[in-house]
Amino acid sequence: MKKFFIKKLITRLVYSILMILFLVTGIFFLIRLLPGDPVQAYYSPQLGKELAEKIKSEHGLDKPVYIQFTLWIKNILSGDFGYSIVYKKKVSYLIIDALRVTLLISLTSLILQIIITIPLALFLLKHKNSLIDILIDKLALIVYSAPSFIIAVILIYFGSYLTKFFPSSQLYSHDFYQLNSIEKIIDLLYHITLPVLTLTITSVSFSLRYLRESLLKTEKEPFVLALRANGIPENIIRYRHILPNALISYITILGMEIGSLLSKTLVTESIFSLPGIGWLMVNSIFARDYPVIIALVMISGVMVIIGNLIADLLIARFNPQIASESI
Amino acid sequence: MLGMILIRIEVITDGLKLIYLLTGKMLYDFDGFINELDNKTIDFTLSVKLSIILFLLIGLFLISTICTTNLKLFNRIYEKLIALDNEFFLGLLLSIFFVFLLITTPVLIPHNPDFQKDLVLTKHLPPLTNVKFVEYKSNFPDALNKLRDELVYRNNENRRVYFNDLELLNDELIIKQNERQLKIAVKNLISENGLPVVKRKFFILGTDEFGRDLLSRIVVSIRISLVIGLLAILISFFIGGLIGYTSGVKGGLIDSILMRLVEFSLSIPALFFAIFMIAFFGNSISLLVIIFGLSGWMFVARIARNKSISLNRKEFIQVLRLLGLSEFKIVLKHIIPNSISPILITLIYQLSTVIIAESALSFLGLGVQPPTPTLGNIIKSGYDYINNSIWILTFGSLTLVFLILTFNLLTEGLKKIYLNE
Repeated sequence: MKKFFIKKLITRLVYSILMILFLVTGIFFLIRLLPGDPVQAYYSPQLGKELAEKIKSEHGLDKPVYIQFTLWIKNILSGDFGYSIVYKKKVSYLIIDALRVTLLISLTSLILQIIITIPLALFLLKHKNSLIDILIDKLALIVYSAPSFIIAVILIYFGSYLTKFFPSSQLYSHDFYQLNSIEKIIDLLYHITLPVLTLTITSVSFSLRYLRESLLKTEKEPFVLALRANGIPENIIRYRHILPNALISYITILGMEIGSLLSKTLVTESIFSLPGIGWLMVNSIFARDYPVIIALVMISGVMVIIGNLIADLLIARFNPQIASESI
Repeated sequence: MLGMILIRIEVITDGLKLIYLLTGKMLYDFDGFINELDNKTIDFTLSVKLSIILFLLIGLFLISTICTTNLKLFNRIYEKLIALDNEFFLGLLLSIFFVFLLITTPVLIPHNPDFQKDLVLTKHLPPLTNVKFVEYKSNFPDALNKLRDELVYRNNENRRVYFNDLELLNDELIIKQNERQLKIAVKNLISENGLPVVKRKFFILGTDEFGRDLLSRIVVSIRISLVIGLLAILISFFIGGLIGYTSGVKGGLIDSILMRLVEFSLSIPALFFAIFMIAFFGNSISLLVIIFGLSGWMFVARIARNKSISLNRKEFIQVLRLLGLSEFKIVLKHIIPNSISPILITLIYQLSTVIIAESALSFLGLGVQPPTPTLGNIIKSGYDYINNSIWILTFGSLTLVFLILTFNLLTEGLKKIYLNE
């Protein structure tokens, strides 16, 4: 089993690296396909011919395509994505700053989602077919149908506009740097409550329905009946036997969610104007900040590939049946 | 739906008159007729015809069910409907309703969604308010153009003057719009016995910040969202079907190359991909359709491949192959019909994700640009004016949620039915 796991790990790893290379190459050629001269676009359309040539040779744009390509790969491997046109900063610095914010809210909401979903699904299993079960199921369906921006707007309306309790945008208050460390943490929590709630509500409504269904499905399986017939207490059946079996499919979903962490927060971050990856993306589009856009698409693609890898490995770890089939 | 058609019966009869005039023109002066035709006219006349057909169908159905209670066909339909899951039934009803809206939009909308007039009086009106207005005469000599102007382009709404008080002085009308006063000669207005005709405009769902009728905008935006979604899933269906079936039937190297392509495409988040493309190629509805079509084909391809592989192993396909049927025919006539249902289920799910993505992009200001009503744009303007007109946000979001809910209910119901089979 362990040997198999390591073998799978290695094949998946090699495979993921190949995918990332493929992604990088694809983006390189997509940029080549674009109309217009990059020098004119980035510097000024009114550049003189000599100056334009000089800048071109400075950036290696006069060299043949394959040399440019190796240069591109080299730069990306060393984490150099060029300079942002708007912020006049290295793109990698910008992305690291933004990534911190995005990971903060998305990981918090992921953890919250796990904490809420599993006990709630178990509770619903215990009170299966009761009024509360049906109500929560229908509510989850409706909430699941609401796109995250609608949930965000509703939360802003009730939490921020009507009650004036939570701030509706930004990550810090304007006097953040004068606060002491405890107040800083409270201020931060205060600001990320609504965005985190938005993300949590959307993901809980989805995963709750999923987990509930798979719990109910597992409960119908013959081994549960056998356990019941043997007189094993219901609680033990539920926690020791049904839950682990049902969790396998839930873990698949979690893996998918890790992959789409960045794109999921895009809308939420833009609404709450949190300086994360999604916000950076939308703002760079409005400002036509191409180096940042290219870097962000690449990073998010890499995140999805890594997320899929994690999901596959998690499934392989928890579900030996799938693991032994194939990669 | 019957009621909705009945409410607009006046428009339908006028529309019939328009169709009659257009047919007359077609018979006598074909070149002139071709010149007259444009998208809006075709759209309107088609929708009039379809709504009459729908009306007759529903009426016939109702009459025959009432007259002959034990008719076999209706009993069978009724039994089938009763046997359905409640949620799925609701989804079915809602989807029929949305398709009905899609077909009859030009007839149903009470207002042109883009017209704005007399902002002082019409902006930010709450639901169920009415405003009085007088209307200028139209100066088209012939009946056809006059009708078309009113029904298809709805220019008569642009000739309206809204007011809250008026005075008649000799031949002039003094119109008061809050603090503002206007003088209009009565002879230019639509009038009866020398007195201008005063009508009331009823805004069922209120108006937005530009005084545009919210109901009309929402109905039109449902249509735009659905059309974008349907075209996009059509693209995904063709690309995904082509790639999936080829790789499933051919197998070997082609299969592994195509499947790597699928996994590669899956690794790019759809929303990021959409934004990336919009950044480089600008945003138009056709580009959005292509982008969403390109970001959804992978799911179709995967299912098509898996299904065709498992079908390929089945005996009846192998027998067909031994009988000498060409590969293309086997795929077209036997593999596709036997594997279409899970693909359709994914496509309906895909439709909902496309609509969500489109409205999210519009909400962020990256999708369809503002004068065109889309649900995202409406919700965005509702969010901008959250403190003085909450109804824009409420109705916009409710519509979007119901639209998505419909597709979710449909997918879940169909999945259950498919799995039970």
